[in-house]
Amino acid sequence: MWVLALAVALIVFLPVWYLCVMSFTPTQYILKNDVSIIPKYFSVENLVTVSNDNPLFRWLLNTFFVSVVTVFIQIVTSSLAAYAFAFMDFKGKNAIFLCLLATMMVPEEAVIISNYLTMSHWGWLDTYQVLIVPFMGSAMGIFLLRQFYMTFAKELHEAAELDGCTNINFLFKIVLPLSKGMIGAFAIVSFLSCYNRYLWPLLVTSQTNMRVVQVGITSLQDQDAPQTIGLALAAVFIVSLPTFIIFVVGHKQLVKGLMAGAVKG
Amino acid sequence: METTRKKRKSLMSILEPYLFVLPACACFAMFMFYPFFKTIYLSLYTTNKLGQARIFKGLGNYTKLFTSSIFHTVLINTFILALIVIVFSLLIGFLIANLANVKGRAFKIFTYFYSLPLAVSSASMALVFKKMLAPATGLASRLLGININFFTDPKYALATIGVLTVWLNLGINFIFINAGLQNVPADLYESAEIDGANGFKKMTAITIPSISPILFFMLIMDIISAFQSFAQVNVITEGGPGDATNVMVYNIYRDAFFNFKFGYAAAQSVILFLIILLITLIQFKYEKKMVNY
Repeated sequence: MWVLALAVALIVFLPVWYLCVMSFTPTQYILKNDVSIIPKYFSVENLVTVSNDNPLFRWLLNTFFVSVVTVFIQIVTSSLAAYAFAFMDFKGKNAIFLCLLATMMVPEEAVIISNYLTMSHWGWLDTYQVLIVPFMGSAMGIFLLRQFYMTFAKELHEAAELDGCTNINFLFKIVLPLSKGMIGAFAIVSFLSCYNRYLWPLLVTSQTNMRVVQVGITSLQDQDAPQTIGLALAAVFIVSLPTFIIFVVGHKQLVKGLMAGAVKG
Repeated sequence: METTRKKRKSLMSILEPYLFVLPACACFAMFMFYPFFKTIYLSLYTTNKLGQARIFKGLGNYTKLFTSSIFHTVLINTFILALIVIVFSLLIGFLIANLANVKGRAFKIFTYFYSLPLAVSSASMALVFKKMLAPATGLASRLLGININFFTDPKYALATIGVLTVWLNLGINFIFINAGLQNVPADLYESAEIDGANGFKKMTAITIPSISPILFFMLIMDIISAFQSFAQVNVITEGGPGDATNVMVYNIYRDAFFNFKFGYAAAQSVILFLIILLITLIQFKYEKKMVNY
């Protein structure tokens, strides 16, 4: 049984293995057709060349900056909104929540044209804010945190209220510290989502130094010549490395975030 | 005295929840609701290059789409892609989830391998696949001696994009189906074994019904994901050869940002939204029939 499992695992892993092998194989051997499944040669020359020839570092910086800021803001807006839904009663609560549900049904493509036109109109193309601001809210974040907050005993909140604790205080001093696990899971899922974003950044950035990582590397593959295979894949490798690391280190959290985000209400 | 104090407390406590939901809602209002309606509005017009509505066409854009052979091709391609993705994602996802579901610490490592596609982006992987399956220089040619033009031959291009999309979705299919499998109560299997059920019977009578809610959920996710495929097409084939791999989102992108026909593209976006909505609604209706608890 495990033989089958291993075989399938290797097949699934094959594209990634190909990526790794080609990234570390010097171009001369690629041209000579001298590549095999078990790598014979190891060199970082592709990685060095491609990062010297291209603003890879700048792209990484852009993407990290945008992703970290976006995720941070999402955590803030989501925990505030989730708090209101979980701990407070107010008129229109259900209606607003339904609207939130509705946003999850709207595919990105339905709004992308209009958002692009809005951004163009505001002069926000080729900026950092265009990559951050439209994503400041996260319906998934609100659902995740609301669900989690609802597991808190109501008495805790009422006791705090009686003690004169304001909602803000309760949120920051009690609820948030206890939500670290959930927030961590959400942060990982959302970070990966931001980091891997392609269509929106492709539309709204055209200057090379404002590009994000996914758009940048795909702009590198204009030639199909064998000489560029190693370089192009080396770029993909460098760019995917952070996500691989996060994937391995934060695997449990990632799975937790994905699972929790799927269970609605 | 007491009533004024109560009133003052009430005002803040009435406003407070709204202030809490305000940041998120403002963002959604500006970047989800407003653009959604604006897209519908734009779809009724012919626009200029700046995206401003100029000539009112009513449903003109829509009728033009329904008689456009390109759009027919696009629709068919997208549906075929969706079909490939659903069938194989669920099948393979189910297979690998079962393979990894054996107890024992050694099998934990398979979870990492099988969910790996989650970590990579579709754009990155598209680039890798493009190089990997390139004719003459790619892995397929070197290793297997096959000389098929995976991406430039109209016969194979769409299917190859389909394979790539299945690979990309494998991670999330695996995670959910695996989680579902782990939640099936062990005693169900035990009592079935006592009754003399073999492996196949156990699978069809117990496993599949038990995880049917998850399978159903993944079905919807896979369909929606297939309909939203873009990066793979843009990076590898750009809709080609001809229009063989032109799918809905790619066509919207092309019409809006290369042909500057914003109104026309907006109409396509609306149609895409309606299709996704329809599929989701139909399936929720049948959920009650298909899903057993």
